[in-house]
Amino acid sequence: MEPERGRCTRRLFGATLIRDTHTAAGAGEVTLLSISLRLSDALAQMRVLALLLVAVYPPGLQPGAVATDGAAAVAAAHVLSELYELVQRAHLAPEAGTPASGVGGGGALQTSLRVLMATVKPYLDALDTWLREGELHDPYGEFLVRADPAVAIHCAAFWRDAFTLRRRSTPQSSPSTPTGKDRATKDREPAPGPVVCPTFLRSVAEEVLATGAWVGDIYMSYDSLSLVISLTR
Amino acid sequence: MRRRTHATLMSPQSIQHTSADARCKTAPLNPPPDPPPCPQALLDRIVAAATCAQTVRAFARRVRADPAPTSAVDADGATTTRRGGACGPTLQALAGCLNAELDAVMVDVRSAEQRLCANGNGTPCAYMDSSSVPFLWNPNEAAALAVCLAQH
Repeated sequence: MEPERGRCTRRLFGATLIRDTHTAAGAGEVTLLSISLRLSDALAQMRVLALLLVAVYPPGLQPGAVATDGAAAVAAAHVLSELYELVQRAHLAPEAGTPASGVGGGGALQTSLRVLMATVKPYLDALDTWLREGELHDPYGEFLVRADPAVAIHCAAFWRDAFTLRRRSTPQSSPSTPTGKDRATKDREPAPGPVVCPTFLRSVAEEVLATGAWVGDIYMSYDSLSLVISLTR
Repeated sequence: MRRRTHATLMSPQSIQHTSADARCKTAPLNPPPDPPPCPQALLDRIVAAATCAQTVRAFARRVRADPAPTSAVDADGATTTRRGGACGPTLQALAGCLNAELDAVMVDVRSAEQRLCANGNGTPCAYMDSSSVPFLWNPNEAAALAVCLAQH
């Protein structure tokens, strides 16, 4: 234990010791102020990273356990939406930072932006594959489009049911004595829940679904046509 | 045309600003200076930062340990999929990025170690003779600091 502690102490002191060789007062002098200044950026950065994590941490997330259906999508949507909000708020008021999270300052904006860009990449890759190739690679089930493998391609409902937007389940209505008006609404389709996706994609979710489905259909038709042509030759 | 008085032109916000301006005028021009650094305050800041680093590292570890979804094809050719955890690629990317940012900070600290080392051979020296170095904390504080940083 003692050698380990000694090594840590040496590393720490080696990192923090500053010899103020440029000061006229004392060459080789170490001051608390110089140590504090030298460590200032690193300490602030550590704090920003932890605050970012706390600000975007999905509520109820329990890593290590097998998740319920759609839990990964909810978590991903929450993280990306919160990160996007943080960056927007930090961008609008770089000096003030983001009061809600406590992440502040221009450095925090740059850090938030870097974290957002790195975090959103897998989601954008999946989006890119879906829009360009009409294929869905989503083993964790966190993308806004979900596939139903039970719906066969020759099934009449394929176009409607094979790919759907991932939605939050709507809460069950409370059991009570139905009035005439209630009975009328009960016969109707239940209102779909909100789409589970990052907020910056919500307004184009329907278009994303339709585009990928169409592109996938075109590719499948092309493959079938090529097969028919090759067989008839 | 009805002539507006000054009072009707003032919105509640402008009144609030006026009050704030008035308060600023009564405040001293120079804010009180920062308190001089003391070993305990610096130690507290480092301990707080190390706690933050621990939080990030713990999150990365937990995400890494999250079960991945698996799929297997049985004898009939049917695919059986076993659901994984809630930490998909997005959370994994978040954890990886935060971890990498933290590593970068530590690299900065270590490069400072190389740069600042007095004798140039990788062996810090000044702390060996702390009695001759002004303003350094006492050995107990240093040990606590080292233990704290070693934990993350």
